[in-house]
Amino acid sequence: MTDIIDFPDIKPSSRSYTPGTYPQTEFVAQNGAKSVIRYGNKKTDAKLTLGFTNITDSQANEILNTYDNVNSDYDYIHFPSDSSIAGVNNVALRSRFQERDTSGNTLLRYRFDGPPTVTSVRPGRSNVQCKFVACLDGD
Amino acid sequence: MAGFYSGKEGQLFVNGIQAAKVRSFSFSMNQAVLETVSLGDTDRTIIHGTRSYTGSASIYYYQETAGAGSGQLSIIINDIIKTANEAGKGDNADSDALTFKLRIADGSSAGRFIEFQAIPSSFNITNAVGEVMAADISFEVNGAPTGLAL
Repeated sequence: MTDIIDFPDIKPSSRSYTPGTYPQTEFVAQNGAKSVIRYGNKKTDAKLTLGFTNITDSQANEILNTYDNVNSDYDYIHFPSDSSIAGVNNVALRSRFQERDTSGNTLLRYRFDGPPTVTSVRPGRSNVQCKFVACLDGD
Repeated sequence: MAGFYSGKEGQLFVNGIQAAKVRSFSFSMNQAVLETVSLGDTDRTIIHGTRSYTGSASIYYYQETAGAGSGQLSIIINDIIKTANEAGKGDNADSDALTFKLRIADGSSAGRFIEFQAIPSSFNITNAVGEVMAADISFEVNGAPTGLAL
């Protein structure tokens, strides 16, 4: 049973989001004609990257703990609106970033797309880079 | 005693010994900052980064007697410029770090001062018609000052 885990309450200093793609295969004939076989009507593999600049070492450790917690049980992550998605005022866009519909239902499940990268900046301060991929679970 | 201070009370010590004829000295401190601005913030927030200190001094070339050298100015020159035993040799001794003490003689025994070890970063000595020969030296402090009573 997978559980939902809130990402730590830390505001990122940079964020990038790439929507998922529809599962399909393209066949291109020699004359250039293109045929597409579509396997589903739901996007998958949305990407979210969060960068945290000059956060405290304890905050960096919180993120690493979240990485451990999520991956040990194959749980998934929820990004709170007022921290991870801070600065996005439009509710619909915020829901897209969170991969939820406007009613709050989860469409895709975010997981880490590789371990976070922690760069020590000065005593007690670190930069952390996290990459996430939104998965369409088959449960 | 209450009062202002001018160049008359200024003293420069190099490696613990006072330089004889100092024209001026200056000292500055810089504080680097690290940004902690997060998404959604409207104003720039910062934390302390590393501190750094630099300074400069201008010293006249002054000899007590012919052939004696210019005291602490000669010490500086010999500490930062290293000779080679043959021309074209590129592998020679490193320059030495120097200890500077910038002091205001305020009438007390210790005076008011700041003391630090520094590595000279530039040195320029000029001899020109109509001017007194003098050397300008700039330095960067190694670590934090070791003494401070200003």
